[in-house]
Amino acid sequence: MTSIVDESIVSDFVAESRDHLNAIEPDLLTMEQGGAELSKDLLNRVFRAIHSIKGGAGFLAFESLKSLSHVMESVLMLVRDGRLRVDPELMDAVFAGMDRLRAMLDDIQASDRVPCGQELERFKAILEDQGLDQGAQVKGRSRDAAGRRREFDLNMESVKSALAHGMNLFHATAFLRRDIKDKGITPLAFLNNALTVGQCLDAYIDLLEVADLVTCLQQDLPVTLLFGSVLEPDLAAMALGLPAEQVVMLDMKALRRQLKAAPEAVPVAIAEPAAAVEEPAGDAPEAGAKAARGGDNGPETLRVRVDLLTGLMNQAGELVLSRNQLLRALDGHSKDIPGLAAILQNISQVTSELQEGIMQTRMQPIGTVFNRFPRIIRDMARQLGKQIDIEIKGAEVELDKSIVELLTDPLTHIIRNCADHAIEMPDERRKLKKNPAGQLLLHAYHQGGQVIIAITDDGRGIDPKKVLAKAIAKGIVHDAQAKEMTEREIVNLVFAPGFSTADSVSDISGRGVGMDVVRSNTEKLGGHVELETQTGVGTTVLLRLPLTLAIIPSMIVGVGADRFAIPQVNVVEFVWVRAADVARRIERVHGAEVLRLRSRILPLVRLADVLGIPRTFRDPASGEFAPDRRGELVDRRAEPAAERGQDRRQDWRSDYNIVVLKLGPNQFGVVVDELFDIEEIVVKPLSEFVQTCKSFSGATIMGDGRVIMILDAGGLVVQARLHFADLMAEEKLRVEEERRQAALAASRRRSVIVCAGAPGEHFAIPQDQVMRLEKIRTEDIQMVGDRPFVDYRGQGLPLIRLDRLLEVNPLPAGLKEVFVVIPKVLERGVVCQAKAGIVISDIIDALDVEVELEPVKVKGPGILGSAILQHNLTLFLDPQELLRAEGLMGVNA
Amino acid sequence: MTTSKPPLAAIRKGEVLRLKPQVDLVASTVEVQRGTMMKAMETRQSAVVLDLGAVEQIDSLGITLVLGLFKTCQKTGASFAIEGVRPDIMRVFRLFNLPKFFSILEA
Repeated sequence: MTSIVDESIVSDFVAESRDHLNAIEPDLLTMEQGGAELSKDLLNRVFRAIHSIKGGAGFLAFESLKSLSHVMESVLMLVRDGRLRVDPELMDAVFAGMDRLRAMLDDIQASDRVPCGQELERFKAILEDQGLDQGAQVKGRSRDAAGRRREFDLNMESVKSALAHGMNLFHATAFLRRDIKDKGITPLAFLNNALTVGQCLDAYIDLLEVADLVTCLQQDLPVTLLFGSVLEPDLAAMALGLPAEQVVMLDMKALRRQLKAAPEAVPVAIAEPAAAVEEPAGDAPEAGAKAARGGDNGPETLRVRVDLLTGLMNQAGELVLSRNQLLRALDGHSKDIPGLAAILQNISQVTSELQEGIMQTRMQPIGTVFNRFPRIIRDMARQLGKQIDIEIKGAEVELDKSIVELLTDPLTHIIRNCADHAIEMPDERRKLKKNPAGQLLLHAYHQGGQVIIAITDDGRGIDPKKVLAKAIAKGIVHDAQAKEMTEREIVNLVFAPGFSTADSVSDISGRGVGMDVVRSNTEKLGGHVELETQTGVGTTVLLRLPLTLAIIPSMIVGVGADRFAIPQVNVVEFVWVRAADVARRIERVHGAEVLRLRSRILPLVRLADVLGIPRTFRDPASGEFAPDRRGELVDRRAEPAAERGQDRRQDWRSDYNIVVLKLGPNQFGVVVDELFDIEEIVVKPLSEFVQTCKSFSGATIMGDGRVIMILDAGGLVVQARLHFADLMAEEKLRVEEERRQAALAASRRRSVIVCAGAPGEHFAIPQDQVMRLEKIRTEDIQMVGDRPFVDYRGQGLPLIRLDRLLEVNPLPAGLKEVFVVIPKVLERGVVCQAKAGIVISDIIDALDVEVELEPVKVKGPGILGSAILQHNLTLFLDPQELLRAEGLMGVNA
Repeated sequence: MTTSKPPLAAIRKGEVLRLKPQVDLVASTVEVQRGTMMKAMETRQSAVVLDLGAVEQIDSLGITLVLGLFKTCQKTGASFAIEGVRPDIMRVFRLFNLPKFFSILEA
């Protein structure tokens, strides 16, 4: 029977059935959680979905699909009628049934080979348990059956589908006796014949007309069919073997209008074109609700084959390229042809809009992937005995269909790992004072032209120590590298190929299974994956993805005569290093050239070298390209100043253009010869011959018709063997060393005042600790007790004699003049007035010296050390210490 | 119909009447079956189950009879269900949308 059915009907049925299953999965989860308080709408939705599948399967004679959906329908009917209570066991059966239905739909022609005996048994057992209750349920339904339902219980999709296939819809009445029995055929033969002529959308027997046992065999019952066929009315009647007056064609125009107005509403009127029967009031709210839902569904939709869209997309891409070529070809002719500019402008805009519109047709909400996870989590939680709540945010964020499809596997990996390893058992969580139910958040959002998908759990996190130990054990990193790695780098090792194997999953608390698959799949999509974790608190896996793979804004760069495109999402900034600054800004670290950019240090790759293009430079004199023989960017040969004007190393054409690219948290610079424009390029997949070239992610055609390659940032890093970890570690060491040296130098360098005490004794006092130097006459020194004083600006200034504090000789007697060093004293950050003066015989010099102080044997306070200054051993003094020793200054000052 | 078997077995279990035709429900047998059904339905019951396990064919009149039985059940307030339906017959029932009126379980 399926052989005579148009294949497109089958594929429509499969697609619709899948949609039905996807649509009710969240409802089923709600059903499970909802317990007793289930909304009637929800139950009806679920019931209707399974009912539609059953109907289609029956019509198309997919027996297994039909029987399974039938028992499921029966069970769901019991639930809907309140005869059966929802419990996890029942839902297990329903979910298992759903999976079987899906498996059957996956290969519909082989659906009868999908084993479903177990599921059927399970449902039948449930039905048998209900036993006689079924009878009661029939009674409940008999009210409906009392002839109130005179409309076709129609699936709008099938009407739409019939219309889409150019069918006319008929209202055909067959009388069981005169049209079937009297013609010597069975009802089955009649129906089978009808199905060869067209599509039977629905049928009903008017129960009002049915007589009871007493008289039933005397009557001739009419059966009404809603029938779709491409035949005209008279031919249809003939083909059905019915008198022409019993086959009435419906008003197709009105039907289409009706569909447009309320796509979801059941077209009640079409069932009884001749004798409209009054609608029972009880049914009205439901019809109203359906119409309202139809209204909410927004604009009318149409099912389109994906290959058709892909074809359109490719055509649009070609159109964009042709437009670019046209614009370039006609560039400069706009003055010759009047109105050309406006026409070009128009073509350009229409092309862009067309291309954008077609691209949008391929966009799908990420929810189509996300929505499968509540179910996965539910099943896993039940299996593992855990409690896990899953929350989905941003399900409406749209991505290209191809990306959405390829995301399924990596996301499933992450989610499963999360439930399996990251989230603890409820008891353990309670002990940790966490909510016994693990929280899992799936969040999609836009950021900087990319879509970010964050999967966050509040599980046990990943222990970097364990990851590192394992990475070392597996030879992914060596000990030396490991020492330099940051925690973030370490946890991201879980993405390394070969890191995780099934046998060691449980060794690592947290995630780890197949994460390299996650990374490779994400990178295949032009995306990037990162991981952030905190032990005991949780883990977030971040996927950064492009919106579409088809058209991407890219920077066009040139190396020699070649052009390349770099996707703009990877570009951070452009750095122009003038030829004269090369030596200052480009350095060598760990044997690699690096660019010093603000506080960062970026490894540099020369695009020419990575791609194996001979390096060239443009000769300043001739403008020709000539081979560049320099090995390094940094050419430190000293050049004679006089020749600088002619030296091509100093010429502006030798300036370096560096494109800074980002790859996850890392950045690196790519040295190119020239920078061109940013263009919207149409990505063409690489031919399989060059697919293994890691440096390229695709190709595109430029406005001038040239084919250029699109560079892959990740591939460049691999190709150039950049090791960010090594480089960062080296740089960290270098910065550390620099700082240490600077600190050391600062400690050595001092400005001192060198002065003399007794003959042969030299002292040095740090200049920054001296407020003033004064010359005084010895006769002005007065003794108060045993302390000398001098009148200084109207005040008595105590004097400090070094020989009284330190093991040094007193100043020679008979000096007429001596010098006083007045130390600077700060109190609460403010220089306060002079506290005391240190008496010396002479001031020798003020020096900037860089010396290492040696410890001295001389005893006493305030000695910093000694050094040889100008061939004399000099004692370095700390004046404040001396003041303190003399009791002239507070300890805290 | 030259069988010695009764054309229809009527078994009563508590409130449930189980009717099991032993022959096909076709023009030649429906009249006899109708008589037996009428008789069995004279006693009140809360549920009637029509067991089609032994029925291989059904024709227009068979369908009319089944509907007649259902109508009678409705009138007497008994619930009605059909069991043991073979796939071919099930297909007819389904194409006529009978499961909309009462529950029908396949064999």
